[in-house]
Amino acid sequence: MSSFVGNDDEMVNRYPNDEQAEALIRGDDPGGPASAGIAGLVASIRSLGDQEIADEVAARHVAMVVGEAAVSPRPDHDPVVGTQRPRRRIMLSTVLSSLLAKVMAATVAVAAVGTGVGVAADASAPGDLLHGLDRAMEAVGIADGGAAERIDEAKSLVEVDLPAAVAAATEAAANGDIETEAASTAVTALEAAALRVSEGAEGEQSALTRQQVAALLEEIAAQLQNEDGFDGAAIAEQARLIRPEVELPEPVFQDEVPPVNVPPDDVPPPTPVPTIPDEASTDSAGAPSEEAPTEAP
Amino acid sequence: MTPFDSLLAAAQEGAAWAWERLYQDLSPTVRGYLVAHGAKDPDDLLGEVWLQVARNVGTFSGDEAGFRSWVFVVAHHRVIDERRRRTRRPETPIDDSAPDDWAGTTGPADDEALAEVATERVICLLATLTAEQRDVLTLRILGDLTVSEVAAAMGKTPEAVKAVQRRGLRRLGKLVREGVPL
Repeated sequence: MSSFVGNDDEMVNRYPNDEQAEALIRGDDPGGPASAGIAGLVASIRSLGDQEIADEVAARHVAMVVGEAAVSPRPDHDPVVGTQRPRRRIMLSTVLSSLLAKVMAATVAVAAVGTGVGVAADASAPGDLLHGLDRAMEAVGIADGGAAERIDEAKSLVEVDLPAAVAAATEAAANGDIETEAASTAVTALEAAALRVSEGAEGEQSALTRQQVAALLEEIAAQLQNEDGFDGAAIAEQARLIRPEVELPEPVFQDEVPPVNVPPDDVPPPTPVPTIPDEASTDSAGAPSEEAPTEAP
Repeated sequence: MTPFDSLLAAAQEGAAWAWERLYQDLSPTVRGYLVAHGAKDPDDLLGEVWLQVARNVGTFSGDEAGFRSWVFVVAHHRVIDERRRRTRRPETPIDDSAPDDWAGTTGPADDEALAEVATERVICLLATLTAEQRDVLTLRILGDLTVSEVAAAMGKTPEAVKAVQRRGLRRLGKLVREGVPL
């Protein structure tokens, strides 16, 4: 039953609170302005999960999945072929989350000082730095498509969204099973480039950084296609042109990280996004970057 | 060892029966989640989600709720991936305005067509939310994820997720008051 009498604007604007929201999410009607209607809409959303999947679709999916699982790494042991030393893969999410946390913290601090207003990363708009970081974090969550595709994506992003380009490239490095040393060097260089641009490099410096990143990506792309094996030295040589200017997080390797509940490529890093002041915020301020207009040609 | 532990271990070893069970348990709601986000080909996207799960299942450890949450996080990333593709190469503009003709749709006779209309209505409804509100509400309602799990999936604080959730529900309330038929 409704605990509200009348349709007071303030009441409507403050409804629901957290407790009422939880009830609505559960499918209960906690009472309040239009609560029965909201509960009905929530039920409609939930009903999307009631649709059955066609038998032939299910059979095809299960067959695909079983095939994939059969060649996927088993828990507790990685396949080692012959005497080859097993390659270690960079924990991309850990490396990048650490980097992005630093960049974001610095940027938000600067924004707060400059404007007196806290800036939420998820409220960023195309064209500003935080938007780039948003996109970069999104890119971390995209693990499909293969290394070559990610490099292509990174190359197309270099001019318009360098952090996103870096994310895609580092993901490619991880997915591509690039030898540890080369990947580590490349990732460190890419991170340095991202930081340099993030910290306000402009004009020639920015253009040079982008050129260097583009060249490094070209090298990685070429090496990914190299059927004779990966030439880590070539990547390292290219990467050294992008000189780190600040202290960077050390790459973390899979066998140095305690077990977690989720695979590294699938879960975005926890990021120190500033809490959005609830009532002061508006929907438009909280609008995510994906709803923004196309940002790049 | 719980029954789910045995199921997971079998799936990690590539047992078909185990994958069938996991698929049957989770796929309808995962597909519903993909539909809620306007997936053009939800079946295709669902297959991609499961392939990703199969690729990484060896690294998963946890209980049944954790597995469910993880599968939805994978689905969430596929949705983001598709959203980005759509943003770069827009095909049909997404109408984010509240539809005027909620009540005006004439219902086809058979149940299947009626169900399709109902689904379209829900998708239109969700399209009036911001992507962030849509993410939070659908992960909570269809994925059954907790606030903390959603926060981890979206790289936000639990408080930020709660705020988005409140705003999303408030928006739904506004639609109700504007006369959206259920």
